[in-house]
Amino acid sequence: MIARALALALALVVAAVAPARADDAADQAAFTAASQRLAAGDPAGARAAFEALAAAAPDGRWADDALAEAAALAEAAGDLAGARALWGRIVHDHGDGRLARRAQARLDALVAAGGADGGFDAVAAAHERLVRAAAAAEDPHAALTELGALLEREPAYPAWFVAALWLGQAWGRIGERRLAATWLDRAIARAPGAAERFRGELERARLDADAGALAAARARLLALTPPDAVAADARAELVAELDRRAARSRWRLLAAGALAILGLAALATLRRQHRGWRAAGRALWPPPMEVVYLAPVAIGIALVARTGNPLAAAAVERILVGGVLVAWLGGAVARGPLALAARLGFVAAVTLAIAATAYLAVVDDQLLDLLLETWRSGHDMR
Amino acid sequence: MKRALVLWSLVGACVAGNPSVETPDIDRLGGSITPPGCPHQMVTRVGAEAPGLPGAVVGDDPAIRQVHLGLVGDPRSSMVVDWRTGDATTTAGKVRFGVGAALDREAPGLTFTYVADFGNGAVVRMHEAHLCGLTADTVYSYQIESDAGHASPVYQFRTAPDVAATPDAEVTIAAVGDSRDGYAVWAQIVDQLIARSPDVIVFSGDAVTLGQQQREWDEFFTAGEPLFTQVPVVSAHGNHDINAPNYYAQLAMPGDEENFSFDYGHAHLVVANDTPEQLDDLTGKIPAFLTADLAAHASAPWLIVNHHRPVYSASTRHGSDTTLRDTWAPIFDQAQVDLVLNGHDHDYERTKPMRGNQAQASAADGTIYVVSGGAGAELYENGSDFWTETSASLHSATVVRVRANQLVLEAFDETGAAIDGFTIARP
Repeated sequence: MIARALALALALVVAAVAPARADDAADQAAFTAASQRLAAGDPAGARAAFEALAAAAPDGRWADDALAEAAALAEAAGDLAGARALWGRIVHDHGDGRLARRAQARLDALVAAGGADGGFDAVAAAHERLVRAAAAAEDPHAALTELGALLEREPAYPAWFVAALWLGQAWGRIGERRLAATWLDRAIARAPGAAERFRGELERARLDADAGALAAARARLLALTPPDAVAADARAELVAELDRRAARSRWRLLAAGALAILGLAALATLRRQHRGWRAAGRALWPPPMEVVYLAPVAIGIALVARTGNPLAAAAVERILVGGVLVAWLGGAVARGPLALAARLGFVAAVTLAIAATAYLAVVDDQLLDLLLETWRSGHDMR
Repeated sequence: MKRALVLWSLVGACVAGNPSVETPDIDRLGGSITPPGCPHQMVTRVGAEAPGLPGAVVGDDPAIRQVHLGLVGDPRSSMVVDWRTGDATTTAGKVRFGVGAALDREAPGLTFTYVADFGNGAVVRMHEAHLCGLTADTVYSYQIESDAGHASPVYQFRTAPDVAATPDAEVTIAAVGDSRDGYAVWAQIVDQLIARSPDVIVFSGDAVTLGQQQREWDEFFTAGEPLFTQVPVVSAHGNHDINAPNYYAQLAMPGDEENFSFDYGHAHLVVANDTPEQLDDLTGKIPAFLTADLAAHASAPWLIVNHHRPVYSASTRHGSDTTLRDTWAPIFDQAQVDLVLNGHDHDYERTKPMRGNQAQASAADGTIYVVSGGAGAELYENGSDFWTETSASLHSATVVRVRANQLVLEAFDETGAAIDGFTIARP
């Protein structure tokens, strides 16, 4: 009797579970098929297939998965109203599921951009499309100009500040400093809060700094009131960076000045040694033996350097050109009569000239930072 | 005999005079403890004290700071909660946690110290609670307490799914790196990651500019706290992390915390250190680990590797690491790794599917390499080479959504604007 009851119960369980397993397998196959359509480059077809799966099996295991895929595709296609509806169904119908948190996060993001009623969804979609186009384009001018026009037309767009800030940064990245300043200033003027205003001011200071206006950037930063500790640290770091750049600018000026003075001194020495400019000029040809030896070596080193980091290669070339010039002038001077004291001065002058040349060669393009980073953190192991 | 006695007395005097026990630095040789109720060990390394059970001391500033989650054991059944206290003397601490909104269980806050700033800075106290015996794919609440008057807000996390029970489970892996010196942007990236609701964060290294410098770590964890309190983070070691005690002490990760792997949903994630203390490891120990681990998990639906230096990068700053390309990429080829996540170059770049250093037509035939090193550090110029599918000099992060038969990558900038994406689907 007990055995028969157990058998009956087992049969009932199997009967209840077996169709569900079959449905589940079919749903999974449908989900996979939709995914493959997406991977094959058919997002519209994939979305339709995902939505069909969610409609056919709303209580199945794959329903919320299909809705999430469809919602993400709707967002990517710019159908933000459709995306809201699909994410909303996950939150409403599958609130306990794994995807509910993601769905709520996406809904929050869509509301932040398009407004609670979706009134700016079309603007948000256009904004997204233009940012994507600018990132992908070889020349982003057209996309950035179009985004600017969009923001002009839609001053009430909820994400206006974020978009204007991004636009200012994007113009700055491609060297359009005037446009960058205009959009950053407009973003700052319309910042919704202290934190956003600070972000805008920070970017504006960066732009000033990149344009070489270090004092203006520093003054702008020091006039700010950081809204929190992270912002205060960000300001302190940028001020320190500006101080570093100012110091490097002074050293660059000194190095360039030293090179100019040393060059003039070498020419004056040649003139004195050869009693006239014309004779001094003739003393430079043929080039000194140092140059004859150094030039081919320099060409070899430059060619080898070109096979590596392009920034380092450019610096190596600058150092080699400077070195050959120093060797040329120095060699010509050294061929003439020099007193012992003058010889000592000559050695010091050549050393200074090489140091100044090397500094000028590495101070640009962040190469000095790269060298310092390598010095502190070890070589690049390549 | 007399000379021997003199010699031994000198040796004795030297030993007696060596303040090895009294000097705090000498104590920080690392150690291990088995967290109560857990099957795994908690290990600290040289530079940090051995971890111990919480004490009763409450210092003058027991406020809870820089809360972040980590992974040491099985992510389906365990979670690690790390935090700091304002002072270094507070040894008291515990985590109350439970399913849903409940806080009906407790885990002790194991604790240890390390010395920041090359051993010359302040003593930093860490507290670390291991929550074990959890149920897969379940939301838990937790709250940290130093003492009765000092408790954190209540936070929530979700455990990893058990894919045997929920084969449809999707997990979202956030891949991001190189926040160093750019914590204002990092805070924005954190907001954008929160909006994408990841399940786990794999950081590709260089959270800070100088690993020993505590000030930067404080900025990193403070800005990341809104995300790190909900989502566990593991990291690949970056060259700027410099194998510092701060790095290993503050991040709770599996195994030796340098080269490790774990399953998360349908993905098998492998993390490797490409700036090890012993450079020979790059071509010896680590490739051996990668080969063995990837072979052991060949049946995983998706193989994802995370390390710092890019195997393929067209950036004009660092560019490709040819050592790794020569020694590690063949292993990835052999194992048919699906995705390699790198940083180091501060830009975004995605390659075509690569195998044998040749671009392939389809993701089925090669590994896609992604450089996502734009979490805040100063941007580098991007470039293009024969492997480049797309590249941009932008601050960025990526999320990888993984299902049994589908992998979707989305890359976005600090404002949330999408900059790249692709889908791989399998039958």
